[in-house]
Amino acid sequence: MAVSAKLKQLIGKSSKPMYFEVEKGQIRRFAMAIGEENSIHFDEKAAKGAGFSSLVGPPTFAAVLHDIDPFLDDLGFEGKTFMHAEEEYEYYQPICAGDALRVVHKMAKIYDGLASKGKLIFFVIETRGTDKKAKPVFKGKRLIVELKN
Amino acid sequence: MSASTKLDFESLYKGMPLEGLSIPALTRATLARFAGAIDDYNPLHLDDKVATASGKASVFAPGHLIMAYVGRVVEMWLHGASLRHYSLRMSKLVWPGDVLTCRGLVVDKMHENGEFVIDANVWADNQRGETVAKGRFIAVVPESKAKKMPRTSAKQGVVYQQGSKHSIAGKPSAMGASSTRTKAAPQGSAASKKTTKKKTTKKKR
Repeated sequence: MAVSAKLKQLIGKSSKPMYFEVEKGQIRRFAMAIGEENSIHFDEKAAKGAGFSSLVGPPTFAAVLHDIDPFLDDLGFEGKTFMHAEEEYEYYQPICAGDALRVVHKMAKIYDGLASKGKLIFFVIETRGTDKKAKPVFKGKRLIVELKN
Repeated sequence: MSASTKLDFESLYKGMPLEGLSIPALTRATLARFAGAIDDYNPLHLDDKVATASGKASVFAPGHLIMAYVGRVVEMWLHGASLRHYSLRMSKLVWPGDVLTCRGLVVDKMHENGEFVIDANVWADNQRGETVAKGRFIAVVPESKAKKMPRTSAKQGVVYQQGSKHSIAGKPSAMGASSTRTKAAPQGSAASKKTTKKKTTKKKR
């Protein structure tokens, strides 16, 4: 199962920009769901005292703004199941409540490789989050594998 | 949090273990709560029927949750330092009932472009001693305990600080039990073990 010409055409394709307004409740819910106990994620006073404009998201809060499903649907993978193998973030600025973010995904690479269950196709998706002034906030990169069942 | 968990360039050394963090046993309620928090209701993590139909023993944790757990300990280590990079590769699925311990180890320190940079390995082990995920972070730290981060360095990346411990009046912690910090372990199973591919899952809705 080599990477088909049809799949190769998807390399370099970008999603439509998605816009998010980060809410306090989102940050609190996320922090609570991961058992976070630092008050800078819950209490605005504590967050401001630590130098943030409002509640600040934990290091992987971008996951909330990071839904690649609409992008994958647009690329023609609707209904397909993917294994999430690897993820990385580059950090430029904190993500705080009240921030307006613009997020764009890009299909960076598609390649095949050997896995325990035979040959699999790997997809590398890069994500860029920028602020109102188009300055970088975070860069994400994830490796996903299509799951057969 | 004690000042001892705050990293500074002077007192860091290659091979220095970082204080671990134990996460309470994973429950289905934790999975449901996390799904709500990130607004991703992938049934592989919520519905046993769907998970078993895909050949899994039961529902299991999404990679994002493991990444968030290890991220907690990364944040904890880096109060007052600037987080620049964090990556994680999933190597084993995490099931309800599993108890994870997140750990880290400093692998390098460098003085680069006027900044004091540390490079560390991070990983999470389950209660059977298997490594479920392995990764890395890069951060800029203050030069010494006596010094604060220069403003230019603090401006780039994310500088977390320790606030007070958050608790909800009259409510038990969201995790059912509080996480416990564990002694910094020397290079554990993870650091020496080669992890293999396969990971957790992200299902299309």
